[in-house]
Amino acid sequence: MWNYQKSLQYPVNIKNPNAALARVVISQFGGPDGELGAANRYLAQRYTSPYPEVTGILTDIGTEELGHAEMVCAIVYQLTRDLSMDEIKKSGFDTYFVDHTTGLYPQAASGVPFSAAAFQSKGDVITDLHEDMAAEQKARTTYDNILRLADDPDVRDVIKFLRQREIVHYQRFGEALRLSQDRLDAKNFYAFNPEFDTKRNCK
Amino acid sequence: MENNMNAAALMQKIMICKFVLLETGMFLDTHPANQEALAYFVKYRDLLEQLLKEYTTNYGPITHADFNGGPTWNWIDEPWPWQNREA
Repeated sequence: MWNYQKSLQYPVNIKNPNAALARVVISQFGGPDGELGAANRYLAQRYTSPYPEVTGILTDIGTEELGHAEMVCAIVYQLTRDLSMDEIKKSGFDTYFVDHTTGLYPQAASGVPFSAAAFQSKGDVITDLHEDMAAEQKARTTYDNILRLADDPDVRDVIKFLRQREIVHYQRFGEALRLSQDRLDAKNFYAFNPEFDTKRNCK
Repeated sequence: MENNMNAAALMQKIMICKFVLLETGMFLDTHPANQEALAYFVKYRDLLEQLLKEYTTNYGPITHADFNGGPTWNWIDEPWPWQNREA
């Protein structure tokens, strides 16, 4: 069960609207490597996790990602506040505006709506943790690309925080993978799938 | 065994209280000045606080912040809420 906490994980205070930048940043809400996908990826994978440390880290990181989706939405919201129609037309935001006004809709920067097809829940702890480590790196690259595109220091500060969290999550998933492999047959990690073949006796 | 039964009974009371608070909270979102609902909320909020203290002192954390200073991080101890059998 989740409880909403009425606070952001890290402050978002953007002074200047910038619709063109909002169109890019929104990819980390609903894009292929965005926070919505991240949260759902980890929270879906944890039910069949065979080891309590892995269940714990999937739960905790998945929960943090929900907070990151909120932060990305806060950035987009603040970047699209008080826009004039002229700014909306000139910035290219008009193609988003026509369908969503300035409401938050989970989509990639390209306009492709959020899709669960961008992540996997494979039911195999080694496979899933590799997916998760790759996902953190893909999100890190996306934040690096946003930093190449964004000049506003108010936006860059928050993006740098989110980027750093991807690196920490990558580290934790790497540790979870090592913990898992330590409990498997060192000569053949794939001899059996601890998430399916033996649910309870593979500590 | 008795301990586990106590834990389960206590958890059920906590779940009931949390649901009461959620339901009353939603009602209050659209009726923010309803005095009867406000008093009802406070009554169950106070009861929940007592129940949470009893549960987390004796049976383990419900949130990270419930950690009671033991030698290991028992947050990860099974069972997780969806594992409806003895871990």
